[in-house]
Amino acid sequence: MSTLNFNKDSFSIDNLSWASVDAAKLPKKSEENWRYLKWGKLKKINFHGDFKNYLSDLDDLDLPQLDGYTIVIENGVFNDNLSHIPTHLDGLEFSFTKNNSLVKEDSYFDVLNTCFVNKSVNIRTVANAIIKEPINIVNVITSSEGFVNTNTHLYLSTNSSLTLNEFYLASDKTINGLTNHQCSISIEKEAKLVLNRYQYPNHNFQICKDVILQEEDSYYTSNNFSSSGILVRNDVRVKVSGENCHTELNGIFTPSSNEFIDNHTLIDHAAPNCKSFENYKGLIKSNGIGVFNGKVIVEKDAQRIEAFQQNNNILIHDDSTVYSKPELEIYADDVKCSHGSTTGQFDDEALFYLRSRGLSQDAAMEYLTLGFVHEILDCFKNLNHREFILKKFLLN
Amino acid sequence: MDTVLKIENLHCQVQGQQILKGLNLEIKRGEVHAIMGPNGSGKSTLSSVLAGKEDYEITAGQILYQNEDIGELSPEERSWKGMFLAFQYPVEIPGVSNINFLRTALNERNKALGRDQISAKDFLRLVSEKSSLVGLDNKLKNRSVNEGFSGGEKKRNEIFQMAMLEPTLSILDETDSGLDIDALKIVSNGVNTLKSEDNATIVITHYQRLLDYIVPDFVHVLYDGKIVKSGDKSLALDLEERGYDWLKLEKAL
Ligand SMILES: Nc1ncnc2c1ncn2[C@@H]1O[C@H](COP(=O)(O)OP(=O)(O)O)[C@@H](O)[C@H]1O
Ligand SMILES: [Mg+2]
Repeated sequence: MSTLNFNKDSFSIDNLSWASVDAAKLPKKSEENWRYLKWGKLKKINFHGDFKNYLSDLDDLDLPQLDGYTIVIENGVFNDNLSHIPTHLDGLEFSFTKNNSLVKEDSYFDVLNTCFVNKSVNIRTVANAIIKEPINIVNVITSSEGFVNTNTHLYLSTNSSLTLNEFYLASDKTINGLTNHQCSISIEKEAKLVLNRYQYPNHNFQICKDVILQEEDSYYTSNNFSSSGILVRNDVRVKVSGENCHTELNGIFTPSSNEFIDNHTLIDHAAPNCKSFENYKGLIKSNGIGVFNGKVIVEKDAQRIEAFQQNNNILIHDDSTVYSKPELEIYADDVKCSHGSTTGQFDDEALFYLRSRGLSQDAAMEYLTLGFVHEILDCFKNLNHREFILKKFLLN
Repeated sequence: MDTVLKIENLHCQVQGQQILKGLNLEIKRGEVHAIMGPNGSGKSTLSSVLAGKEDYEITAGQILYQNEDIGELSPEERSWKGMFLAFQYPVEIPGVSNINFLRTALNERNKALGRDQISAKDFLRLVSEKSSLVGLDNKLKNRSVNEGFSGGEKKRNEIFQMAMLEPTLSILDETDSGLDIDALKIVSNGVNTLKSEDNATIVITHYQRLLDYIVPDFVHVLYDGKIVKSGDKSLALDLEERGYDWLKLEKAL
């Protein structure tokens, strides 16, 4: 049994919260959902909570060009100077306020999040509002060994639509920091949300949990890009509670040497006549470890569900590792579901073919990489962002 | 006439299995050589080892290309020096546009040879000139490399790429297989147009039919990893009539 180490004086939370924190324990290896995670590196660090704002310019960060409105959260706190969002935006309300977490606590990190978060990012669309400009949230950690907890509430009112781009990163010299993030998303009738997430905390840790609730006729797409990070853990839980919903989870994860990226997703179909599509691709570099564990549940009365799930992985080297576990639990009888998982290496014959036409080994590998991920890459509709992530996983 | 390719006593092993067992061949500029032989005799192995495929180990002998021993060169280095292999089974590469890939191929070579990058304008001019040579459908140029192409389209695409790269030595591995007679004529016509006094071609096939259209100067019979017979184009007609069974007989005797 174990916990993380905190330099308690550096945090400003009360004794009651400390009591909860101290009582909670890191998940054990015997817990199926956490079995691949090793806590060694995290446990060596004495985390602090003593933050100032360090950033003076967004240009100092590794970001693509950001269109639309930008909210900068530095070490868990809204950075007013660097953000660019009007206080009165047609159809959209934004605030940074105290707010109770809507996520049910069921892991150590949920408890920590509840205890440490002070204020949350709240974004709410007004009914029927079509927000044309994307909202960018830049979530950056700028202090080494810092422990940052963040919390976002997204509320899409009936028949509204929004695109959100979230960036999780660290400033240049920041190492061994931990960001523990939670996001609760509520999508009302006929509303539509596209969430693009870009995770590249480099020499830092990140734990991330999204809980999504979809009402009837709603649309949810998340496109997830995870590259470098000592340890990145993503939990996505979608509950589809109304009929005629569209749910789509796309992901690319590409851990490099000594990095660990762990994806756990759950789509729970609780209502009939819905469709869900899940497609994750792992490109595992030398000495990297990746996990995909995706579960789809079709509840008893959820008839006429179409659910498709696919996970394909490429191991770049003999010392790359991936654990893939697609799961279907079906309790209804009239459904169309499929799932599949493949793990392999780049085709030698394809590599030879490209090189025989004069492509260098590196250029040929880039093309094969592109060929492998293009399906997911195309889901990111912003061309600048697409370029940006393409560079990231070619270089990484 | 100067020699483009000289293969001396070539022995080649694939995954511990000896496939080529002492092969000799000399090809000069301006010549077309046909290599025929039954399935499994080592024709594709020869083309792969010439193009530098990894794991194809040369255990004895050597390959001299323009008087240089190329045994240690990578596939791309061989390509930059003007070698080209049209694959028996062209590989499908989803998500990689045919045309982008070719532009990269040209520019990688330009970079390696210290030349300027090709301009967009010159490139497009080259593409339209060379694709008309083999009647490659415009749509196919922008599609992913070979993805969803018919057998014939793949082979045309190989010759289109050959035309773009203007090789000094081309090796066509069963380019005729999977082609109907019209496509065969078009592809052969493309190859003949590309032929010159400066380059050389190896045509691998096991049907004589192709050699009506691409007329060889020499015909060799490859059997069990060795060239067992060489002659002029009449040898191909001979083979067509007699089949390959006599080879087994001769070997047994
Ligand atoms: N990659 C390989 N691994 C093992 N054996 C191979 C491989 N490629 C070819 N061979 C073997 O080498 C022999 C020659 O094959 P190949 O060169 O393809 O003949 P051809 O092209 O004349 O039909 C065959 O017996 C085949 O089984
Ligand atoms: Mg063959």
